[in-house]
Order: sequence, then C-alpha cells, then structure tokens
Amino acid sequence: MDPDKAYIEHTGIRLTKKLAEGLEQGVISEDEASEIATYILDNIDKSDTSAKLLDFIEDLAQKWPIFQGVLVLEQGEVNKQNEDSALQKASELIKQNDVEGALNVAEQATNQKTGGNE
Amino acid sequence: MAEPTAAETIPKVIIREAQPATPTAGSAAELAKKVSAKVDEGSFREGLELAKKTPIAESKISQKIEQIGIERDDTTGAKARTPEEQKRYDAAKISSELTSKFIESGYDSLNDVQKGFVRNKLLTELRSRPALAAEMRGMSTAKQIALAERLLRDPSYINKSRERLEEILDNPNFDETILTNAQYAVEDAQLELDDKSAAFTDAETRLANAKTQLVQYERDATGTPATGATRATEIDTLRTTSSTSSVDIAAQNTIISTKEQDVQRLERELVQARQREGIRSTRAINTAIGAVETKRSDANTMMGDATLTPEQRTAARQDYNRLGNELTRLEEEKEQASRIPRGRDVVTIEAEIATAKTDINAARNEIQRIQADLPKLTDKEKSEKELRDEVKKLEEEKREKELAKKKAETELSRRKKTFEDARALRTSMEQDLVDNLENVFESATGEWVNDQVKAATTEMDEQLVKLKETTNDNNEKAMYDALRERWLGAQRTRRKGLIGFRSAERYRPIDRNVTNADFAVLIQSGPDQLARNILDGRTNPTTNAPYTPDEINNLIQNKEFMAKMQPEMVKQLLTRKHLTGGFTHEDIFLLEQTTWGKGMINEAIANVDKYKGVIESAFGAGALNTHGFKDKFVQIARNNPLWMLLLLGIPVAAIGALTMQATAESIQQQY
Repeated sequence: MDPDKAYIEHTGIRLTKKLAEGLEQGVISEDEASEIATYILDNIDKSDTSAKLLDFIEDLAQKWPIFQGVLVLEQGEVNKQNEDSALQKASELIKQNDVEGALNVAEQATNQKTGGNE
Repeated sequence: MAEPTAAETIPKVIIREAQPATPTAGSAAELAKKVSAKVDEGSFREGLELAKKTPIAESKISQKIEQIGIERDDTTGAKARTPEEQKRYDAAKISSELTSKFIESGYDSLNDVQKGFVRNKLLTELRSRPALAAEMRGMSTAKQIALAERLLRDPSYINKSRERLEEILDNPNFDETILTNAQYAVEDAQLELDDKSAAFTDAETRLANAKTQLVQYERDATGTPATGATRATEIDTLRTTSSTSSVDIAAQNTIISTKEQDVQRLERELVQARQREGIRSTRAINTAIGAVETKRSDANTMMGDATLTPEQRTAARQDYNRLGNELTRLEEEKEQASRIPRGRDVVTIEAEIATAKTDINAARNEIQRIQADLPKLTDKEKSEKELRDEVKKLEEEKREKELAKKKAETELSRRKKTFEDARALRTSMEQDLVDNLENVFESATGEWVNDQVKAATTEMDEQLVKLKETTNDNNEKAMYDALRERWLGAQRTRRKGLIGFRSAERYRPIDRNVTNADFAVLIQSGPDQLARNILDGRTNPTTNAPYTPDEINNLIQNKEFMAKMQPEMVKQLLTRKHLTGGFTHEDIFLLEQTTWGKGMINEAIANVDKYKGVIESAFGAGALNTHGFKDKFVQIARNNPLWMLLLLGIPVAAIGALTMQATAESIQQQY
C-alpha cells in the first residue's frame, strides 16, 4: 500500500512530537534538532511507498535512537495494514474461487510481517 | 624604590577576549514548546521548520561584538572603549539584535522603526541593481514597501539573512596577537631607547664636564690664554720658568759654591779666632812678665838680706827660681802670642758663617723649586693633552651614543607605526564587523538577486545546450554555440562572503557593452544584421574555417534557418539586456515598432495560453478565461516592460520572480 498524504502527515506529526519531547527533556540539543528537522523535511515526502516510509523511519531511528519507539509503532501499524489488506485480498480471491492466489497473498503477507523473503 | 621601567609603565591592556558566555538556559525547552504548538496547530512541517532554524546563539553574538575595543581597565579588566569604539560597539549590538530578531521571529515581530530600517536596506540594494532600478523607479512608495515586505517574509530570503549572520558569527575572532606583539615590540623599543638616551645623556654630561675643564686651557687665536683660562696661564708661567731654569740653577749653584767657599774661609778664620780667644794678649803677658820680674827682684833682694833667717832666704831663693821659670814661660807665651795674627772675633765670624749657610740653603731651595716646577709643567701639559684627548673621545662617544639613540628612536618610531597600523587594522576589522552586521540585509538581498540572475543565465544556457542537442544542422549548432558565448564578458573574480574573509569565485559576467551594442543593432538594423554579426568570425563546423561573408549571407537568406534562429537569438539577447540593465518604455516601444517585434508579440498574444501558469499566479485562477482579458493583457503588457518581455519569450526565471510578482501587484491594481 502506498502511503497517502494523510499517513505521511500522521507519521510527520509523530516524529515532530518526539523531536519536541526530546528537545524539552534535553535528550537532544538545538543543533541536533535542527539536523533532525532538516533530515525529516528533506526525506519524508520522498517516501512514496510504505516500505520506503518505514526505511526512512529506520534510518532516522538508527541516526537518532529517540525515534526507536516511533519506528516500532509504525512497523506495527504497517504490518497491521498489510495484514488487513492481504486478508481482504485473499477473501476476494476466495470469493473468485482462486484459492491458490489467496494462499499466495497470505504467504506474502506472512513473509512481509516476519521480514523474510525466503 | 627603583623607578618603574617603561615596560611596567606601559599598560598591557591587550588580553585575549573573554570566553563566550554560556548559552541562554531554557532556550531548547522554549523551542520545544513552539514546535509542539505548531504540531498542535496541525502543521508538523512548520514545527520542523522552527526546529530547523536553530536560534542564533546570543553567546556567539555577544562574543563577537565584545571583541570591539582594545584597551581594558587595569583594575576591573573590563573593556575601556574609546568613544569611537563605543559607537562601533553600540552599532554592532543594535544591528545584531535586530538581525537575530528578524531571523528568529520574523519581519512582523519588528517594531515600525525596525521595519522601516530593514525595508530601506533591502530597497536600497534592489535599486542598485540595474535590472531592477528602472522598475523600482516606476513604483509608488506603497508598492515598494509591499515588494520589500513580501521579500522580507520570504523563507528563502530569511535563510539568506541567517546564512549571512551565521557567516559573520562563525568567522574567526580577531587575532589579538598581532596587536599584542606590536605593542610588546613598542615597549621593547621604548626600553631600548631609554637605555640609549641614558647612555647618550651620560656621554653628553661627561663631555660637558670635560669641556668645562678645558675652558681653563683655552687660548685665543694668538695663543694668549683666554679670560679665566687659569691652567693655560699656569702652563705659560711654567714654560717661562722652565726656559730659564738652567740659568737660574747655574746662578744658584754659583751662589752655593761661593758661599761654601766663604764658609770654609770663615770656618778657618773662626778656628784662628777661637785660638786667639784662648791665648793672652802680648800686653797682658808683658804685664805678667813685669809683675814676675818685680817679684823675682824682690826675692833676689831677700836672698841677700841677711837680716833674714836662713829659712827665709832659702824660701826667697826658691821663689826666685820659680819666678825665673815663670818668666821663661811668659816669654815663650809672649813669643807664641806674637806669632798669632790679629783678626775678627768668633761671634762675627760665626754670624757670617750662618748667613752664608742660609744663603746656600736658599740657593739649594731655589734650585729645588726650579727643578720641582719642571715636572709640574709636564704634568699640566699632560693633563691638558689628556683632557683634549678625553674631549675628543667623548665627542666621538657622544656621536656614537647619539647615533645609537637615533637608531633606537627610528626603531621605536617604526614599531609605533607598526602598532598604529595594527591598531588601524584592528579598527578597520572592527568597522568591517560593524559594517557586515549592518549590511546583512543588503548582503542577503544582493545574494538573493544574484541567485536569480545566475539561475536565469544558467537556464538560458541550458536551453541553448538542449537546442544544440536536438538539431543535426551544423549551422544551427554553430549559431547556438555563438549565442552561448556571444555575451560572456571577460573572466572576473567575485568576492563572496564577508569583508576580510571573502573567498574568490571566478565567473564570466554578461558583457553589458556587447549586449547594448547588439540591442542597438537589433533595433536599428534588424535581426538579420544581428545574426550576421553573431556569426561573423565564428567557425563553420562544416568547413572548419571561419564563416565567409557569402556563407553568412546564404544562411541569413535561408528562411527556414532564420525562422528557427531569430526568436531564440532575440530572446537570448533580450534576456541579457534585461539582466544587465533592463528596458525602458522607449525600448519596448521601439521593439513593438519593428516588423519582427510586432510579429513576435502577435504570435505570443495568439498563444498567450502557454503563459497561463504565470498569468494566473499573478491575476488569479481562471483569469485567462475572463471575458476581454487577452485584450486588456495586451494593453497591460504594452505599458509594462516586464510582461512584454514575457510575451517576447524571455523565461520567467530570467525576468525574476521578484520583479514579476511586483509587476503583477501593480498590474492587478490597474486590472
């Protein structure tokens, strides 16, 4: 699923709130905040897929660990969305008597959730 | 207690700047609140923009401007600024506070006076740009204010201002060692001069003393001792004495010799006198003889006197004999006395001897005196010579000390000059800092406009590169190459950044002279002649030799070639013309009057839809579909050079968002 504008907005708000929280608690300095803000503004709109958005948040969390919590939340939400989407797609395929297709979709969804592609 | 040395008395006031103050506490928390507020307002991007713009560190500003001023109060260590330095400090403080407030809180946070100040700075810079000056002249004050305010609220302009201010703040602080070393060098030179001056004064004093002594030896031209020259007089006296001394000594020796002979003679005479004094005189002896003879006669008488006893007669005989002996002795004495010459008495002789000896002693003393004066002269002459030698030596020494003193004075003067230069340099650096802080808005405006021009020229060049890539015609390629290079001026170096810390950037500006000359040719002789001029001297890729006049004429007469080249050539030229000085209404009028100009404008009007984006951004969505807009737009464009340039094909980037927007505003009011 491609992230729509609302979802990017939602992620942006989470990241910015975390940034403000870090600033307020003194976990990050003003200079770091500036760097982080620049990084987010420069990259968030480049994420035209959910995977890319997650990659972006992973990069962000790797650079600045205060975003680890946001990453976990986002990963959970994306997985849930994928599962919901896969479930819906599999249901439709079953309705069309395409059991094999439904199984493939379910398998793909499971692989994505576990992070494996084998 | 010893006098303080120069080094001690010259205050060492140059000390390193104080360490920067600690950043304002709580500024991060403050920023966090602002960011959160923006998120709560529904715009995380604005929140991130806020976080992106870190506040300008007050400590950095403070550290920078606290550098202003050289001397410090010896007691408190605080800067003791001169009125000039204080003036610079105040100016820098006001400018930096204003700039950081503008950057952090925006134009709208400024008070009316501050707003007016920054607007004027910006507008002054815009007016200095030839491409904008004409347009600015045509704008009312209100429109100029609107233009300035729009730019001052533009994030890209605010970022430029931030960059300029941060560039100032990030630049290295003044190198205090230059001034300190220069001052120490002055102190050292001052000490050296003090030493040399003291040595010179000492030599001068000793010379003066020697000369004062020499006055006693001075003589006039004739050699006569000068008035008060007692030593010279003494020398003269001694010289005179010395010249007669041998005669005088001889005379004294004669006296001594004579007197000594006198003494000898007198001493002999004295012996005789003393002998004479020991022997009775002849008369006394005769008297004694007469007495003895009388007594002997009496004894003789008695010896014969019988009346006398025998004993008496014997006794008388004995007396007689004894008196006979006595008489003999007296006769002998009388004989001896008769042999001694007669002479002076002892006392007289002794007095004469004493006088002679005194004379001898006097003569000897005189000789001693004369002999004693001889070395005195030598000594005095030696003293005079030594004194004169000393004076010469001291004069030489004085000259040497004077020379050394002058050298030390020169060195001190040179070092003072160096110190003054260092102070002047410091003053200049301080002034540069103040100017830089005061000129942040001009500088940001200038760079913003430069970016526009650079973007425009780059775009124009890129267009030509693309056009060249899309054609297989060698002549067209040659024309595009010619257009790329036609208006490039000689390479120049542009100084970027702050005064004193600028970096060099090599670039080739648009050649205004060639541009104006070509524009004149375009108006007066038309595009064909301009194309002819442009191709003249260029290499024909087909022949690999310069285009011949015939080849150029053939190309100009080639309608297909010119139909394709003319609009691009005109557009490129007009763009350069716009970027280097703009167009007057007369220029536009002349353009419109030409056949080719009319053609280009008519074609543009017919295809005005392709400018839809620009026109609608200025006149609002759907403006082009408004009834009668096109006719009105043509009229507007005729009256407004910038819209006409758009119709003539000059890209929006070249015309400039700033000018176009400003024009749009003025047009909207008319519309």
